[in-house]
Amino acid sequence: MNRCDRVYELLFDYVADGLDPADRALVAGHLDDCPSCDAYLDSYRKAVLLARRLPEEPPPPELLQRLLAALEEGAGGAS
Amino acid sequence: MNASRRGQVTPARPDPESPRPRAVTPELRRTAERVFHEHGPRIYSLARRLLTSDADAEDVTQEVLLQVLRKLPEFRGESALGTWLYRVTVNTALGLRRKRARRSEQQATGCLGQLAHEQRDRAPVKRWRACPQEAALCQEEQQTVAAAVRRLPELYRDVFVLADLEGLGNAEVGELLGLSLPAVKSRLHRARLMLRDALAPYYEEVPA
Repeated sequence: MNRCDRVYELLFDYVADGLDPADRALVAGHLDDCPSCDAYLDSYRKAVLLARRLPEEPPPPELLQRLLAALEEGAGGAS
Repeated sequence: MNASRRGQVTPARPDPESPRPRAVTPELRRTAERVFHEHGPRIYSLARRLLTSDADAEDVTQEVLLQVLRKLPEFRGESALGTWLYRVTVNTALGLRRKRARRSEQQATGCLGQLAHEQRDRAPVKRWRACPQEAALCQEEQQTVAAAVRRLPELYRDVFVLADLEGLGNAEVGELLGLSLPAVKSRLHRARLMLRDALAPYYEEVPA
């Protein structure tokens, strides 16, 4: 396994700040020397950030009518 | 659970434990409307991310909202209701999926492509263009990113949605999904790698 593969393995814990000092130093040192791994880490972080910015999806308004119809059928209800 | 389609008014199957028939009083209607507007978006959004079909997400949302209406008097705080909502929504969504036998190891492994960094002759990774943290995603980006999340195999998407999109801790995700902590971390890592690869064509910088 080359150094890049080892870094890919450790990426998750590196991002979560969950590596022991030796592995953390290994990854940080490699990132300084390897533009490709550095770009990979950057894109790994950005992919998660992009997904986190997805807005909430509202339910279709007609679902409220379904809910009320279900209540009429006796499927549930608050007291 | 109904196999309903969007736009159809299809009541849920009556629960034998519920008193019926039950007229919807004006008070109950107001409560249902309030619960729908307060909790519907959160429930639907989570269900829509765990399931790939609008109709399934609607069925799950209706089922969970009915349970909320039944249990509402038992909740005294928003935080207790919030935790409970997560659990019920996740369980209902996963239950529906199991019921329809859509989930299988075979599907998960079948969906998996080889990750870019695992390819034998991988090219140097291109840097991505800036993605300002505060800026809202434009419509096209929303569609691209949402589609990439939906294309994640279920085994990985479940963990990704709960941990990275909903912000639950890894231990809590493991508890909800019945997974060990190492399994959660492994699947989450894999999901992120797959998402990164799926989004790379849209975000890699184009050489000037």
